[in-house]
Amino acid sequence: MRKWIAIGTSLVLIIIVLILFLISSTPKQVKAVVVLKDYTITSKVEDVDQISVPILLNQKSSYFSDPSQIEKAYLSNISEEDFFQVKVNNISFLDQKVKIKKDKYSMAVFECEIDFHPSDEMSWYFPELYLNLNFRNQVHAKMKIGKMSYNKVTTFSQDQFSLSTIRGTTTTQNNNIFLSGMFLGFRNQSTQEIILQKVTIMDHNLHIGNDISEIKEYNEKLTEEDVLTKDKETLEPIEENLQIHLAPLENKIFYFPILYDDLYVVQSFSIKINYLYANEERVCYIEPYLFFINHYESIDQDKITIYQYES
Amino acid sequence: MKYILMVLLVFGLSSVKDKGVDPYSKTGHDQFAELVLTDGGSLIVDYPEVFIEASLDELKRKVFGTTDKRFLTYANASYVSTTIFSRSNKTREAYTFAYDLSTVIYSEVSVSVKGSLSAKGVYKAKKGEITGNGELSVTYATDDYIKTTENGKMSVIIYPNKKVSLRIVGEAKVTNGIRKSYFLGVTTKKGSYEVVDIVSTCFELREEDA
Repeated sequence: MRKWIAIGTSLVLIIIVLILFLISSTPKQVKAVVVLKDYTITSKVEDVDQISVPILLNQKSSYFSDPSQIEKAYLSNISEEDFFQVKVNNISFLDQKVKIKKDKYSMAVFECEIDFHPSDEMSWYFPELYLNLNFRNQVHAKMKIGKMSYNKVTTFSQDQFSLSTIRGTTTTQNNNIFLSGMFLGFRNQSTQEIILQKVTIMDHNLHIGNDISEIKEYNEKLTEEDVLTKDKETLEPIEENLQIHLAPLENKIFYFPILYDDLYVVQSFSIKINYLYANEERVCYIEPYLFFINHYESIDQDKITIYQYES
Repeated sequence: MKYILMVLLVFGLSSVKDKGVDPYSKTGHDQFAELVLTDGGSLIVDYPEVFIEASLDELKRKVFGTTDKRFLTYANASYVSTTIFSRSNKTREAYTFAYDLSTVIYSEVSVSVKGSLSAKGVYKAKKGEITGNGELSVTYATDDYIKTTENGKMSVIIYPNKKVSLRIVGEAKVTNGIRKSYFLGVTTKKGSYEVVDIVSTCFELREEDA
C-alpha cells in the first residue's frame, strides 16, 4: 500500500515538474530584433523586385514566422504616407543563433516581393524605412528596418563605352566592414570622343567624395591607402562637372572615394553616369554590382531595438 | 599481452602511409594565389620541414588524446584568390555574358593539413562536409556576429579581342600549428595544419586583352 502511494506521489511530482518546465520554457512573447540595413534597389521598369529582410526572432515556430498568418504587409516611412505593398513569399531560418540580453534568437529571412509596377523611370528614398506586418490574430508589427533607395530605369545598356574595371576598397569601423571607395575603369568603345561628366551612386545614403584620382598603374592589390599616399593626379572638377575626356578606344581608371550620411553596411548598388557624346547629353546606368561580402556582420547590442508582441 | 601487442601492431600499420608528392602551392591553399599575414608570423608552407619535425618531437607525450601547439591563432591576413572565372571573346562581335555569383564556387574556409592529420579532426564545424582537400562549405559564427550571404548577378559586355575576369581579394583569419594524437602512449597521427577563415570578400571584375 505504502509502495503504491510512493509511486503515485512520485508520478504526480514528475508531471508537475514537467508542466512547470514546459510553461517556463515556452516564451510568453514573440521578440524581434531587426538588423538595420541600407536597402538599395535599381531595376528595370518591367522587373519584379524582391527584398530580403533579416529579422532575429526568439521563437522559430510562431505566427510571426508563418507567411500564411500575414494578412497584409507593406514598406513605409514612419507616418505611412508613402508606402509600397509587399507580399511575404517565404520566411526561412538560417542555421545560426545569437544571444541578446539572456534570450537566444534565430536569424529569420523574410523574402518579400514588392507589389508595385511603374511604367516609367522613377526614384524614391525612404530615410527611415519600416516593415509593417498585419497578422490574422490582430497583431500589428511595425519595425524600423533601415533606409531604402528604390530606383526604376528603362535600360542598363551602355552603347558608347565599356566599364573595364570595377572593384571596391573597404575599411573597418565599429567591428564592421564598409565600402570606402571604388576603382572604376572606363573605355570608349565609339568612334567619337566621350566626356564623362558625373558619376552618381544610386543610393541616397552614399555620395562620391571630392578627392577623385586618376590611376596610372592599376593592379588588383591596390588599396585605398596606396591611392591616398602615393603621388597621384587628382581630378579637378569644373563646376561639379568631372570633364573626363576619353578618346576613341582610350581606357582610363579612376578611384572614387565614398562618403556616408549614416553608417549602414551596403554591399551592392547601381551607378548612374552622365556623359556627353557628339555634343549630346546622355545618361546610362550600370547594373547593381556586388562589391563585397562581409561574412561576419557585427551586432552592436547596445544600439538594437527589441520589439515585443503577443505570443 | 598478446592482444595488446596485436592492437598496437594494427594501429602502427594503419598509421603508415605512402608518402606521395604534394602538388605545389605557393600558399598551401589551392584557392589563394597570395596570402599575406598583416601582423607578422609565417604560414605553415613557409616553415622548413626540419623545424616542423623538431617542434613535433618537443610536444609532450600523452597516454590518450591530442597535444596541440599553435603558432598563430586568428591572425589577420589579406588574400588574393585565383581567378574565379575568365571569359574571352575571339570573335568580331561583342556579346553579353551574364554571371550569377551563387554559381561561383569558392570556399569560405580553407583547411590545409600535412602529415597524417585529417582536416575533419582539425576544424570543428557544427554543420558541413569536408571534401577533397579539406574545404568546408559552411562555417559557424559566435554570438556577436551574424553570418551573412549575398548573391550578385550582372551582365557584362565582352568586346572583340577582350576577356573579362573575376577575381576576389579580401581579409581572412589564419590559425596554424602542429598536432600529435596518441593511443596508449603511441603516436597515431601527427602533422601540421592551417585553417584560413575568410572574413571579407571583395569582387574585382576586370577587362583585359584576350
